[in-house]
Amino acid sequence: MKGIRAILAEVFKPGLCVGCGGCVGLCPYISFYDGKVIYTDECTRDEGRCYEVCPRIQCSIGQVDEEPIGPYLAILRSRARNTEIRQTTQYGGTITALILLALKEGLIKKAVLTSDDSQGAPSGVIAQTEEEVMACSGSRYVGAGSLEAFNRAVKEETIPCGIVGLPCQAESLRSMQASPLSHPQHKDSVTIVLGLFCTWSLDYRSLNRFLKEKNLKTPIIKYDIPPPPANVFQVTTRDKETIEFPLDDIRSFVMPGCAFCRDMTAEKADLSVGTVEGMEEWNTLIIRTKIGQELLELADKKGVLELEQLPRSNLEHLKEASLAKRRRKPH
Amino acid sequence: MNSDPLNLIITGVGGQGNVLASRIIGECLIKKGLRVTIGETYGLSQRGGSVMSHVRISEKGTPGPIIPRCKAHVIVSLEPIEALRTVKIYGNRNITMIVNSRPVYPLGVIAGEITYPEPAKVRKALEELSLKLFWIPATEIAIRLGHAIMSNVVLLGALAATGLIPLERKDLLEVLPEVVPSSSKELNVTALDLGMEAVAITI
Amino acid sequence: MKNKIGLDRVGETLLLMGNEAIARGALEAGVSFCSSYPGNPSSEIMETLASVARDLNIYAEWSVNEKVALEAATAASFAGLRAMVSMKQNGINVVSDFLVNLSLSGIKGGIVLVTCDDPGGISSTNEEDARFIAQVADIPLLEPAHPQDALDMTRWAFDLSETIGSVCVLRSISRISHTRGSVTLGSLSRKKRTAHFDTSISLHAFPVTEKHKILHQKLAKARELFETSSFNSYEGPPDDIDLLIIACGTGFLYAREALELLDLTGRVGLLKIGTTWPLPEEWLENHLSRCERILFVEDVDPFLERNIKAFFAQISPKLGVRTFYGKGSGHIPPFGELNPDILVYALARILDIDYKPEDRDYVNKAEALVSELVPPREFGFCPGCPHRASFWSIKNALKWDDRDGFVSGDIGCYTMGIWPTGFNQVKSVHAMGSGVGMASGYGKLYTYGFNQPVISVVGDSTFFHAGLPPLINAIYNQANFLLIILDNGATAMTGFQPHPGTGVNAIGDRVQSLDIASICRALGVSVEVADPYEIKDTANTIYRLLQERTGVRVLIMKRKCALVQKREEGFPYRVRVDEERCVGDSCGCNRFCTRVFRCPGLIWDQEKKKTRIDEVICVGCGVCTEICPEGAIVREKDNHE
Repeated sequence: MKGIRAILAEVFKPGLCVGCGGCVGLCPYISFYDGKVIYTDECTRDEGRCYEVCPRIQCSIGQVDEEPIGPYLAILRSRARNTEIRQTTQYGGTITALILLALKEGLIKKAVLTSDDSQGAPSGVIAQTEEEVMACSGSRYVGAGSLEAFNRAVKEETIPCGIVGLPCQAESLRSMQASPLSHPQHKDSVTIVLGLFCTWSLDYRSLNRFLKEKNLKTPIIKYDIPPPPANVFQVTTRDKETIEFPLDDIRSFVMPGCAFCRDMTAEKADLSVGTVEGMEEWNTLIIRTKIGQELLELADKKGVLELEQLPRSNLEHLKEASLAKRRRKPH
Repeated sequence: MNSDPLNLIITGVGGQGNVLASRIIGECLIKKGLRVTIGETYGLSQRGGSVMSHVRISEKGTPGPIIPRCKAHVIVSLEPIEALRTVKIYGNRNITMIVNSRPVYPLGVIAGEITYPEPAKVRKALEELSLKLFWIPATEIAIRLGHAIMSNVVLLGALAATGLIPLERKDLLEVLPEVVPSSSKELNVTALDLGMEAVAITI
Repeated sequence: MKNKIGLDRVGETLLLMGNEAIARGALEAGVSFCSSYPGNPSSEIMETLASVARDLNIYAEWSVNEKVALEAATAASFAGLRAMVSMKQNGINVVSDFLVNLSLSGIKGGIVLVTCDDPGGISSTNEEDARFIAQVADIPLLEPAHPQDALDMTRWAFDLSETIGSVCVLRSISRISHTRGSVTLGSLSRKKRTAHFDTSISLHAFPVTEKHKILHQKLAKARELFETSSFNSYEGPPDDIDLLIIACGTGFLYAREALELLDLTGRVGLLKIGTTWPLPEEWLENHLSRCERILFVEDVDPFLERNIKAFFAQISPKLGVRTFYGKGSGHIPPFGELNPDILVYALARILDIDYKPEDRDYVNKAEALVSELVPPREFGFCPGCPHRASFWSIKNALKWDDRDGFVSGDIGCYTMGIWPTGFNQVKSVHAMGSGVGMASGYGKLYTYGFNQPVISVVGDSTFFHAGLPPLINAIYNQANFLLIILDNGATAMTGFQPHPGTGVNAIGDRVQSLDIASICRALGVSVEVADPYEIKDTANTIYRLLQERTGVRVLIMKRKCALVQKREEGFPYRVRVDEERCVGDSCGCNRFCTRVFRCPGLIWDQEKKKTRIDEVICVGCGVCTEICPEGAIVREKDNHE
């Protein structure tokens, strides 16, 4: 087993940390500050949970010849029946609807989500009420360190948590559950993992500096990358103004660590959720585990989600895109 | 006095009351008509470093402020390893040492980067390097009196009890009131007597 | 202990520190005006004078810096009063610009300029030998060997200064200033002087060459007086000696002791010289004729050695060949502090003597035991020191910032930021205020690809001393950095002397307090104030200020020096460790408080594998409770004190 020295050498120093936050909050040596994971003081231990949970080290996904979207029980398209949720969220509102349901039904006590801190930097949030959950909706496209909030939520005791995260975060959570070094409350609190599709994440500080240089001062409330061939990055400010930048301007802010990732569809999640090409009102929904299936059945029963078959062409397209990420070579 | 100058070293860690102890001795001796030179090393040392006073007593001349190597007659140390550090440079086969048994841990020890030697080992080493060692729980005695800082006065009592330098209880009683606040005078006299007692038991 | 230096008891012998003896000498000479800037090993001179100033009706001030101290004292001199200015060796560099002009204009009332040098750098950033100033400014120099000498010389220095009309330098060193010795008092001066500036004359350097010529005439007069000075003496056999030692300062006492240890008093002569510039040439010539071998003994630079060698070059046709030993020959090191052993070994080498201070077995055993058992003791901030907390916040903010930022340091307790106690944050330290000046330079390097954030830290007293001009320079030249003023309300390193920001003067009067924040705001920069103990908020503030990329930003970290706080009101908390919660060495802590935070009040208990509080050392500031990841360090209101 290894510890912080290995992470330093293999992840932090080469700049491969993607800011999942899995190692943050477990000890005083690693913190997540202003959108970045920072190693602040020298830990001298030879083994540590930080190494155990790092998705850039403990990576089990990505053989090209495997099923390109990983194991699954079913694939659907879905959207929240509640139109209010749909209006607030970016696409179909599936994640928000499922989290609200899980909280309401008592399947989970806390939801670990991503929001912005008072300075506008992304950060993990522990949500328990509808209001708190709704405040976190929307995509961010930046490393958000939100697993820090999970570690914070369960520091003292086991609390059933629903965690919404990127593929790297789902991977980190599973590693945490599997590691002999993990504390019981970390293993036992991971109740439902909702994964988000991800092609890459941006380095928040670089993006923020870029936006500041473009004189975008008001907080950004929404980031989006419309489907090709638009080839643009859109940001929406609090004043509801949407500004587009060429995607190529943004690409240099993609975190180098993302180049090593083979997982587009959050294969370690219970349920994975993404967009559907050409259908902005819908989500793609991959049911991967029994836990995921049960949640979905409950959602169906309670009438929370509209569920339909995902058109074959969309499934093919999803597999193509996912395979493309698998074949990606680190630059 | 058997030697002129008579060489006494008081050592310890910054903040232990080292300088005050040497000054009290000096004031006592000068009242008796002896000539005294006290060379003190402080400055940055006040901030957790080692401090040392060279007290040199003469009936005739003006001794220099630094004792030559191996030429100390008595070492009083407020801290065990400072005693060892000092005896290495100034010690000899005939030296007497009066040492407070309570460690003040160096920051490196606190940080766990280096280890502080076992007290028994330090005591044994000091015994090997001196003609006579008085190993005195001065800080514990002072804590019982409610003021850890009085460990320096406990050791002054011990020094007076050895009779190695021309310093008696009555000399100290005369000077103490000039140095300590009147409110703590009685406690200081108790500290002095407990120090003298500790030596009486050892002898 | 009550200060006795104001006692009017002629002939009484007291135990006085060298610095007290210097102060007493000034009082016996009838000094009226004393000024100084604190700096070890000189600080006690002014402290002593200030403590008796009211009773003896003299004026005493802590000046804002050494140059101003001499300027203010010069005013007293020009008005006919006697004045003394005291400082550490670094201060001589600060006064030099004024002094080289003052020596040309000449003075009225006697001025004694005391420099307390610090061989070995015991409490300094250098071990500069400040005697050079006597030659640069063409003024006389006296060097005492012990506290009694210091008193006698100081008293006489005023007469000398007034007689020749020049400033007189008295050079002490740590081993005199901080040595207590038997000192016999003379009488306090009864002479009353009235201050008046004679407007029929003007005092300046013009015409320069003419004034320079007059200055050399003054030096010649000093030389004449030195020829018969009682501060110079010879001891040893009247003739037929194997070696002549020429010594000044405490080197004289070391040499004397070395001669006794080696039983050489019958073979070697010892020349003590107290008037070291200008040289008493005739007197020297007489003694140089005694013997063909000469050993020089003096602290730090070969000042006397070079000057006497140069003088000897003139008289060598008369006296013949001499062999000189000392720093030039390698028998005495030209760095570090002298001690009796250096003399013993130098003499043993020159005269081919086998010397062992103690038998080899004992020495070997002692060395072996110490190297086996004794760990080193590093310097550290006091328990409760606001600087530890400040550097903690600075460290975190710079880490969070992640652009390889660093701290440009300055002179004061916080200089220790170069060591682990300050988390090694400070990357350069030089002279008073220089950290700000250097930051002003770093702040202009951005056009050359320099993208590291820079923090300059400066203490409150240092800010007033030499921090303002570089700050103004930085603002004027639009340099980009964060200036953090570590305001602990005292000149802490040198013994808590007041300064312009404290609202108290040297003799304890309440005076106007100059507010650092208002001064900075008046210069047009943004100023924020933070509490070092609030480590989380303060680190956030520092981080935020580092992100602002334009111009100078000022953050004042304000919290009273822990030693002062302890003395005045004490600390509010009793701190303890909840052993149940402390996870010690395991993953999640790795002894964070003892190993990283390193406050001496926190002890790692090897047996229990837990942290505990050292109740003798902990003062109860409570800062460490903020850093424990498990909340195991608990503070409770202490009603005891």
